[in-house]
Amino acid sequence: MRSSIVGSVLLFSACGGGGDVKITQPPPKYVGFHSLAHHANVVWVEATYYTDHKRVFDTNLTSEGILPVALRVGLRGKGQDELPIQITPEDMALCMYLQDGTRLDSVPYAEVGKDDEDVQDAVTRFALKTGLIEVWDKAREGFVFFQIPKGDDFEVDGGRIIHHTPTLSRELDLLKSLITLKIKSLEGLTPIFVGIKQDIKGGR
Amino acid sequence: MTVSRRDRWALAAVLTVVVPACKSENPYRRPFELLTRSAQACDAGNWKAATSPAEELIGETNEKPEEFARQRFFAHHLLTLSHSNAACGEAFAAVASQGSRSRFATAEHPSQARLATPSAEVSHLMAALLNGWESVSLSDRAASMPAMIDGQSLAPPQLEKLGVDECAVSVRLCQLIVYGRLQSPDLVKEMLDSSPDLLDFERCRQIMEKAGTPERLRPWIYCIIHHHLRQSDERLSFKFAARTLETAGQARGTITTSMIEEIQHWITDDSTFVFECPKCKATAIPKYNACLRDSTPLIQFDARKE
Repeated sequence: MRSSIVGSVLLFSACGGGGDVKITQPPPKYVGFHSLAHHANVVWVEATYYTDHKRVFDTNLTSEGILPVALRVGLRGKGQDELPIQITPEDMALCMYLQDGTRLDSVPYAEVGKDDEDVQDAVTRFALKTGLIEVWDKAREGFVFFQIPKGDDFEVDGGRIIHHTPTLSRELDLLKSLITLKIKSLEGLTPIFVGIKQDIKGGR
Repeated sequence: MTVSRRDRWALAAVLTVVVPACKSENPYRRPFELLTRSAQACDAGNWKAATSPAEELIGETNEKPEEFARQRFFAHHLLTLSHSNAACGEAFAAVASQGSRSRFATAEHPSQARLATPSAEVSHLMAALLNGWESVSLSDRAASMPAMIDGQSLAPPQLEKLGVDECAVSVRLCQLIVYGRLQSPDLVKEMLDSSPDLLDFERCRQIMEKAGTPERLRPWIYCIIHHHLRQSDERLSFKFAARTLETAGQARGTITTSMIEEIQHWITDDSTFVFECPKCKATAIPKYNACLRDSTPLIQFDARKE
């Protein structure tokens, strides 16, 4: 047994292995998705990642495996005052996709910060309000929350996420992620795809 | 630490056999083998099997990306192609997210693969986009490298035959599909502005042919260009619409019935043109893809201002 261990170590060293795992950086020319998207020029969605969301929630949610993103959903343009369009928790199918295709599922706000009353209060206060969509000028930004998969496969540091897989470790730019959600109208459910921008000051 | 006599013999044996082997082996050999496996799986339409060796190659050459740029370029090309195809209802099924090491789970049954959820499709599209941009970032360096170093081919014949330039075109077409399917008309416009040849109907077909674009991806190219041209050139947009309708079946259900109906509705109602048979002047009934009287293909119909 010991022979095989010694042999393996030697084999690894002799072939130049043994260094730290090098992390693949995101490609420099990558063109991500716009952080303001629309459906039929009527329903508009804007997504923002606030780097100092700790100031809003009194805790760093990412260290707890939760990624908060602020969404503003509103109607503008022709028909903005008459259209009964809504977002509902049941039909919204909210997801976030990292650059490498990893899907992060959304977490209901009631599940976020359950163990801390102050955090839960803040989360409840600043969470996205569902229901009928307001006209854009009245639409207020609200937070939605995504679960970073548990375990050692992911590390979050500000705007970057490192994803470790058995074959490679890859740095992913959070701001090149994609959020998908569905809106509900008389025509049925319609998907909207939106990128993410970064800002500093949250909780407006 | 004490080392037994048996261990010393084992060490000596390892040093005798392994060290010279590591020193003498061409460093491009192993990436070549991985690329070959990936390309063969791709050719067989086994997308999941194609991704594993390509990702291994990228992981193993991470320390020296410049030195292995050509092989990494081809690996990202194969990954782009695999994920683009997988997003067309093929081979990968559900997306594993919570509590799983894998982003993409393999379908146990072929029928499940055909039912790939839109969620899985988005995952594959994102992965295709990332690998596509990796490829684009490496293309100049890859093109400047020789196909063989110290007697070792860097890539298998099917990839070298296609070449860096055509692989780069293939990647760009996949990226166009991603931006189109994920509803980013501005990014589609940017891509088409930089590749205006694609807007020439016949050239578009030739470009896809030369780049080896798989049949199942082509309807998406036609569909995306059709939508892009609706506002600027309805006559040309009609050609792409007709070809989309003609080939939609190849896209394995990812061009949905409602999308097809919407295109048909554009032809009959929303366009400011009337499309009619050049022989008998019958108005287009797009669900038939040809004139009911004389079988003239829809794509040959004339556009007349209403």
